[in-house]
Amino acid sequence: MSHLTSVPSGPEPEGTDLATELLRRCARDDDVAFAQLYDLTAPRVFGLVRRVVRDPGQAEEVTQEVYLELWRHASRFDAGRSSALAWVFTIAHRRAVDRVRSAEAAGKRDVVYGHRHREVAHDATSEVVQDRWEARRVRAALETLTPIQRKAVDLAFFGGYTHSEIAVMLDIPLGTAKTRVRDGLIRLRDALGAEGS
Amino acid sequence: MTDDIHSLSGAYAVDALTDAERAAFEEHLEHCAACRDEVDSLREAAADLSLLSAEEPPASLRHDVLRRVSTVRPEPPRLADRRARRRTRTWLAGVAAAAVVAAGVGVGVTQPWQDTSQAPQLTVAERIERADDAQRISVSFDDGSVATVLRSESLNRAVIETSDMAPPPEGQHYVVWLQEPDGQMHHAGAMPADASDASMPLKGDAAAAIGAGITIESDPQTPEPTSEPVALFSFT
Ligand SMILES: [Zn+2]
Repeated sequence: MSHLTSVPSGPEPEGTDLATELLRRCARDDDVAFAQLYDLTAPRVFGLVRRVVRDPGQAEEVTQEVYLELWRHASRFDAGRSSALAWVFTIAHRRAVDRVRSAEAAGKRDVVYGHRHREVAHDATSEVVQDRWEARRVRAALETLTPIQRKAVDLAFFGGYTHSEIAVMLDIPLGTAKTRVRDGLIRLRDALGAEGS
Repeated sequence: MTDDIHSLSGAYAVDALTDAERAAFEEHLEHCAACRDEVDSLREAAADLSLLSAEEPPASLRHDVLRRVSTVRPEPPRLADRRARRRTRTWLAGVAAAAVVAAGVGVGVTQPWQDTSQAPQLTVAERIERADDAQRISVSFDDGSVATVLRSESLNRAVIETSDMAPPPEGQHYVVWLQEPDGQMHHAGAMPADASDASMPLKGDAAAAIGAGITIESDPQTPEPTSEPVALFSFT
């Protein structure tokens, strides 16, 4: 039935962005909206997953899983709690991290570890032009973090490591890495917010 | 109080906890609103980091994803969960949470033996439902409440019906508007104080209107909406 009614959007209230609208339509079984959501988010979803899992083939698999989950669970999105994009990337990140950890648990640690030894976050790519300005804004916000906070956030987000692993990698006392991650994210949030996103 | 559990919020937000820590923290989240809010806000910030790793995926991936998705349907909303959630917040933050669940589908049932003109005892809603050109547009909210506008162009009538709707904030009122083709909002009535399960015919030119909206107002007779709508119904 929902296919009969490409939903009239009407006047959009403030703060209701395109991704939010698309997710709502996905929840109503609207595959056109889903394709649009894919086009809107795929470079950031795929790029994030690939950064975390490293292997391009696995990144493709995980990206497929992510989109399948977005489609199936679109009705779970709660716009009162998060933006649509944050919800999308939260799911993508979780899936990617689950993949590297289970790959390691399955005994591929050495292989994956070899791949995972790479400097991240700052040398970042940018094949995607339209997001460049936004990316600059994020880099600037990252500059407000202390080096250790930045490194901790980097290893957690792009490396997919646990805070205990990060403590060892950064050679800081166990139990302090989680504080670095948290303080770093708070600074990042405040810097991004202060600039008005 | 060993090792303050709140301090795990950041690591949790970026999936940097072990499974055991994660489970423990999620239990904590159940009853710590401060951590819930913090996690939400940190996830928003972390989401922006993905701008730094953006990378064009292989073109074949799009095809694969769309093909896979075409074989499954989206899960229906989980009604029980939704009802359990914070009601007041939903209406206030509710604009974005609103989801149109059905739009523009004629629900008219032709019943030749029942001429609507000979049934004056029917309510406006019932008359609209019997019209050939009946429209039913529902907006559901995260807390499970639903608002529905029934409209018939031929009858030039519209009715709003609410189901299980949270009360407006203290001292405020839900006001319903009909949107005219030029975009102007026409006051179509203020909902009764207890609007939880109400049915209210809308004042104005329902046939010409292109949509309806609900705002929260302190003056129920305000000539113009003074806030963003919490729900919108499009007739077109
Ligand atoms: Zn807490």
